[in-house]
Amino acid sequence: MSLMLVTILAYTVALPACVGLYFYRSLPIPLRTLSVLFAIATFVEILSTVYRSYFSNNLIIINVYIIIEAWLCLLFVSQCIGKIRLTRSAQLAVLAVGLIETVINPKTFATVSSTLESVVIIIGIIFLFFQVALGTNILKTVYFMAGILLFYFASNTIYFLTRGLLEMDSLIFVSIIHVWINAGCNLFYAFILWKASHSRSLLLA
Amino acid sequence: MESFAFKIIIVGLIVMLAAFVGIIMMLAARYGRKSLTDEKRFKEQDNLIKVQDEIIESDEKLISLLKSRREAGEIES
Repeated sequence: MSLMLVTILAYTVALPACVGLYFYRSLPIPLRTLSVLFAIATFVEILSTVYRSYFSNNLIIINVYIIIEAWLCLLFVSQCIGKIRLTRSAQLAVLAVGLIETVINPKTFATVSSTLESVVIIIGIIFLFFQVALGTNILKTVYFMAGILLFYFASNTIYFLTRGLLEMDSLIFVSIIHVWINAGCNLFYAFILWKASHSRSLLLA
Repeated sequence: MESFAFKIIIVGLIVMLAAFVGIIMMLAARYGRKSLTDEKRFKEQDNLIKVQDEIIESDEKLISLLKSRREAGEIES
């Protein structure tokens, strides 16, 4: 796969960012948080492309972005289910691990904090679904957004856990699939944000 | 080694992951609806019990009134 196509697929994150910011005022609060996250992700994507052309290594930006992503995704979970103390402690844990890892090794990818981030967010979203199963009602769009986030972070975890074990050819193949999954998720995010700006139907109504 | 089998395994893993997420979402929604309807049913039963209590209370009042009137000789048994 050409580098051009990979770049285009990576920049699909601009799509949910644009939709989210355009309909920002008509979105429910948890989805506003995610819109901000998509906007930051787009900015980080641009920044890392620019940074890469001047310096050889842009991983410090990605490592800082992981902390922001974890913070905002857990904020999304807490805005849905309201377990503020629990999510705040998870946010602080990822922040601490991420900062330590970035300070110790700024030029390598923060594997521990990214895996921790994914695991914590997966637990948070499964907890959200557990609350839904107990009768907590949420918006339909927020429910589907949580489902796609769960799929995204679960695939992320598998990718980060197995990438150290793969040979170069396999690693490239898995990375390509990872990029395609990200792009697919971005399209779904954009669609859900657009849908959320038009409808406010509850899941368990 | 990037063989055909490896590709199939990876694609299979992704499909399984998507199915897993889908099943979790479906179960959450189904049990959520069920527990909501349970809650509704309990509320309705509570209301019914309240109405029955009121009926019993008014019946008891009526009986005691009749008793007192009979004791006073206003009515005959």
